Amino acid sequence: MTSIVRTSGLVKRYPGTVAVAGLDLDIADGEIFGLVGPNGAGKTTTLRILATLLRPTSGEAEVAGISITKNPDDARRVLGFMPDVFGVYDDMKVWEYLDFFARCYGIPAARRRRMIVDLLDLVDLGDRRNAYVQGLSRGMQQRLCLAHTLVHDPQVLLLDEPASGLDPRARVELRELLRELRSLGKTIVISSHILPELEELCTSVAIVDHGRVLAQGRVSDIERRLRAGAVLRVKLLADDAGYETARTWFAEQPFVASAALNPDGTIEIGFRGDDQATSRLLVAAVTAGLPIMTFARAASDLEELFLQVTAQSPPEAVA
Amino acid sequence: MTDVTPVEATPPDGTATTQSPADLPVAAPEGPADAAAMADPGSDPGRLAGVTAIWIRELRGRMRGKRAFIFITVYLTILVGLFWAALQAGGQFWTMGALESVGFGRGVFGAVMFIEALVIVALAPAYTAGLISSEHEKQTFDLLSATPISSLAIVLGKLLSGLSYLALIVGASIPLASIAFLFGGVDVIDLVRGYFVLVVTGIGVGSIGVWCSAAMKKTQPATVAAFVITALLVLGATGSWIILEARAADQETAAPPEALLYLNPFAAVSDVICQATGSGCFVAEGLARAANQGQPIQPLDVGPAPQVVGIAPGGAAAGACCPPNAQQFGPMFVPPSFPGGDFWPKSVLAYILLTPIALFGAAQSLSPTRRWNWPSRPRPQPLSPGPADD
Repeated sequence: MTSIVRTSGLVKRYPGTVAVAGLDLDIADGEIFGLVGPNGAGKTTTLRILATLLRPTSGEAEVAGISITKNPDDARRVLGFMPDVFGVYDDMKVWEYLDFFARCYGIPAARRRRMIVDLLDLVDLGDRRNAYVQGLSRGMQQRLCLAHTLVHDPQVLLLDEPASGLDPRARVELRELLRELRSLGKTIVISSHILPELEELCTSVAIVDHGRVLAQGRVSDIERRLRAGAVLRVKLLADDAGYETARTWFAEQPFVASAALNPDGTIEIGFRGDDQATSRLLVAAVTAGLPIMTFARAASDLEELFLQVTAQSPPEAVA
Repeated sequence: MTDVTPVEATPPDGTATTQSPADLPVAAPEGPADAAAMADPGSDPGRLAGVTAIWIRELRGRMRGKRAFIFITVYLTILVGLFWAALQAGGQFWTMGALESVGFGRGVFGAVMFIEALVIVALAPAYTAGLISSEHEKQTFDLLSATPISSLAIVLGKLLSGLSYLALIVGASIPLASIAFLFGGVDVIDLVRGYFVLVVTGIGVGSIGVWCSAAMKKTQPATVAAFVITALLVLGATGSWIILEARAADQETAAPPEALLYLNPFAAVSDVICQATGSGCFVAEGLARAANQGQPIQPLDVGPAPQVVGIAPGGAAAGACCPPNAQQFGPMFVPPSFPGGDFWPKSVLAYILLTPIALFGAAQSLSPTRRWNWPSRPRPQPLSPGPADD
């Protein structure tokens, strides 16, 4: 896949603070890319620089091959930006809101009309077309704001904490909408500190802290890099003695670094082997007569990874 | 959520791509121009469209509801009431003699011009000082700023929207000012000249308001700043001129520069009225007194030749000040160096020069990423592949 968003040595300094301290990102076309980090990590600053709303102190960034510092006007045509906090215009109807932004991009009147109908259907606001924007619920305003980023059919969407302030149902709807947008070929860069949400949604993530990228890639890849191997969880149809026998058996097998009994009634195995070795271990266990009910690689946990990565983050990154 | 079924669209090369119905109109432009506008990030269809986009959006917000119409109704009612009171005080229209009628017509014209100048000075800063700062306060500026509209287009669109309502207010008084034609003594060109001065002044004062709005980012301080700057330009400069002129008269030194008065719309309007009616020539008189180092100008009876209407104490012949029929109304104060009609074009020119400066300042104040940069300004380092940080 080709890169559609790249940053190189991006730095943003404020008096007394470095918000972004040499950030390098490489985001492939068509991804849902999560920027993960604690408050003050530099996520919003990074997105605002990419959206051409902030000028970097140094470094460079490109969106769809267009430099955001040299050609910000051109860059604005290929990206849509949804800020974390945004307001709505008073005395404006929903269709007028989209019509205004479509006019801003110079979209002809005939296409504007059809596009507004389609976009409102896409974000499920078709029946609110003539409602006033300030009368919409927070979730609806969020979806309308997302629709406004799509009026010019951008290649890249920059969404800063799009789910903040939404109830669980609205979050699920937003997640579905983002998946749908990805299926339409959009690259979505999304920042959040609600990690389980990003874990379900994102194809890749960058863990950011103190204005630097600490880890970047697919969650499973990051996990592989951070851990010596995988974690396997095994559940048996056995009593306590049977579990202890099985734990002892697993501990003696090749590539197994550790085997421990979990309070939830499973055996957790630290395993250094590859996929073939994992398969051989399962066959051996069945052949040895262990009453295995489930045998699975433990699901990657972004929250756990995040804590692990940020724990190693150098505090001196922030001036 | 709406269930949007993906549609398989097959391009000519046979490669299937997935699109939703929502995306079709956007992804499949109707014509070559549209396609260029949407597909080519380097094309620039929205630059001028942005001005109208902002203008229309602002007008929709401003004109929706009863407030705008109630204000205009009250304003016109007050104007008509003043006119009616003046008519009652001057006698019945059908009993007026020709000279009374002409005098009344000129009075109506002069009064409307002064009231409109006051309306512009009072309302233009108020209507424009919140235009951009309100975007910051409502947190909508980022959304606007992320669009490809140029800074100048944003500023122009905002100014246009702010002045449109003001133009409606000022324009609504034209029928009332035109009543002067019924009474006589005022020509159409006088009316056109007067409203031209008002329009140029409104644009200039509005530009100052927009600049303050862009620079301050909060409506309250922006409004205060716009009024203070307008007051300094209009009243402060005039006051300085009066003080300096009095000092110059005492010490017999050179008169202060008349440029101090250029941005005072009341001075320009009085000059238009002076040129039209021969009355209210206090600006021309004041400038003439200053030019003659405080010596009073001797009023003379207007002779039969309408062009020669005054003589300065030094004996220099004055220029033409007043319309031909001015001779019917007795002695006139006529400045020798700055006769009526000479001042207002300079005032208009001053506002024409001020407006682009204020608009450029506003555009530069909008956002650091939207500023016009000097060519020599160093750019950030070019993109070069570096080692990943992870």
